[in-house]
Amino acid sequence: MQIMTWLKNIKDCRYFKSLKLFFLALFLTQCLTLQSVTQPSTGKAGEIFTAVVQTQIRPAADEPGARLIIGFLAPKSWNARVNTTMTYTSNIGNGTMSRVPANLTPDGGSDKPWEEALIDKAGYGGNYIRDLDWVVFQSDLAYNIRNGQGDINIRTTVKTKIGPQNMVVQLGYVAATTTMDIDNSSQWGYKFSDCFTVTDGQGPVIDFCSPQLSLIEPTQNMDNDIVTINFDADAVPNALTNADKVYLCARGYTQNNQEIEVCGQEMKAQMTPLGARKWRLDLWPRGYFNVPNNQILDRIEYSFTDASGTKQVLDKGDAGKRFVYKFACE
Amino acid sequence: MKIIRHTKSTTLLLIALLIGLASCSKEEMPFIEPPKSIEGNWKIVKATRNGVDLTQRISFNEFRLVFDKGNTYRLNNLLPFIVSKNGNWAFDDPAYPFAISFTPEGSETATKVKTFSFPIVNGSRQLIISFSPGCDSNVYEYTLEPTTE
Repeated sequence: MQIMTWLKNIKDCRYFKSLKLFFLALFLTQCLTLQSVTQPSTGKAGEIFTAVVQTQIRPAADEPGARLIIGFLAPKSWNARVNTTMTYTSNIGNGTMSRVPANLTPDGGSDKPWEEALIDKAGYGGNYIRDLDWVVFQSDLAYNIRNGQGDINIRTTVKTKIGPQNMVVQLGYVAATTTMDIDNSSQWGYKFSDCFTVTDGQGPVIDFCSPQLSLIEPTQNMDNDIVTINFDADAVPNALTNADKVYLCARGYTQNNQEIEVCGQEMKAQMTPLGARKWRLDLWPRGYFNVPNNQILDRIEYSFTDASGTKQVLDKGDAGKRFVYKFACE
Repeated sequence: MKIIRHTKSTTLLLIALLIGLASCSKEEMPFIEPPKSIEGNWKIVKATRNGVDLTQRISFNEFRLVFDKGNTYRLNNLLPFIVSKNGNWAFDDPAYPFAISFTPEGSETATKVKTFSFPIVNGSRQLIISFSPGCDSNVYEYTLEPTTE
């Protein structure tokens, strides 16, 4: 009875015509669904990683010259732009895929190229470290999608080489087409994987999936890069949880084991507050440690201190060892 | 009589036309694009790392790239840059530059920037260069403008 009354109210509503048009438009809109992603939960550094992305398109309008788009979010150190291949099988044909042209923008409101647009549209999922890239491929063949043709089911295989570092990371996937509107959520889709673990690689585990007391961005640097040292005083309880000033106390080690320490309450060591008990310091290691021209930094060890220099945060919070960062590239 | 007069007029017209044509000598007016000058001091007005704007996060104010006469350059108040020592620079094409390279003192190898553009923005010439001074995966883009400071 209540439903009947509600329906009558709707019918009487002066917006009924608009609603009808809205539902008609909705019905006629192309619909793309990223149905599932299948990938392993672990892999070894340097191995080939394979994921399968299942996509369905339900055509409700003519879309001439449409190409399938698949985006893949991976750590920069994987160099996925170079190391990734994609192929697909579907009920309208099978084929290979190639990276989208650098200047190609998605259909819809974004004027950025695909790989940048996906940072805005899909983001980085649950990764606390943003040192990842969206890599976007399109089908080499274009298809004329016709209004009323049956559902198109596409199975895309993504293959890439796992990077060299030990890590735990969420990988991301986007499905879209070159002609459908990525401002319309029913016309494209994205999913992030559960955290994927890389073993048998180099260095300490970089955990993208958990809040970290400290992390360094980008993840790979040499001493001639600009390095961002982050400190999250909220990650675990520690002596600097309520500090109003935080300083970096760091020691650089050159490749011939010379030690250079910068550990005081000086301006250049003062970290910038970002709010929510998060702090950041950007530095150029060669300049910061005044490294002689004939030497190269191998690593830095560091902790965080308060304005008095008496409170110190180490890798386990109030205990543990100094954080260690080794300079290296892939 | 009428035919003779008509023939005379036609002949006169043809002669005038020939004289006119002969006077149209072809004059070459080649347009030569002058070499682009970047002589002077340049400061960083924008800096990004992997697309993230670092301009306000680290002090770029003191860095100067100085192009002297004779294709030499100097770096003052060094920051990460394509080279770390003073030396010589060169455009690939002085009139239509699409690339710039730097050869530090003591080196025989020129290092090219990854990308280079040389636009005029708000009436001022800019140098926009990208390069990787550390890991290849980290790409920096500096936008430089001339300065008298």
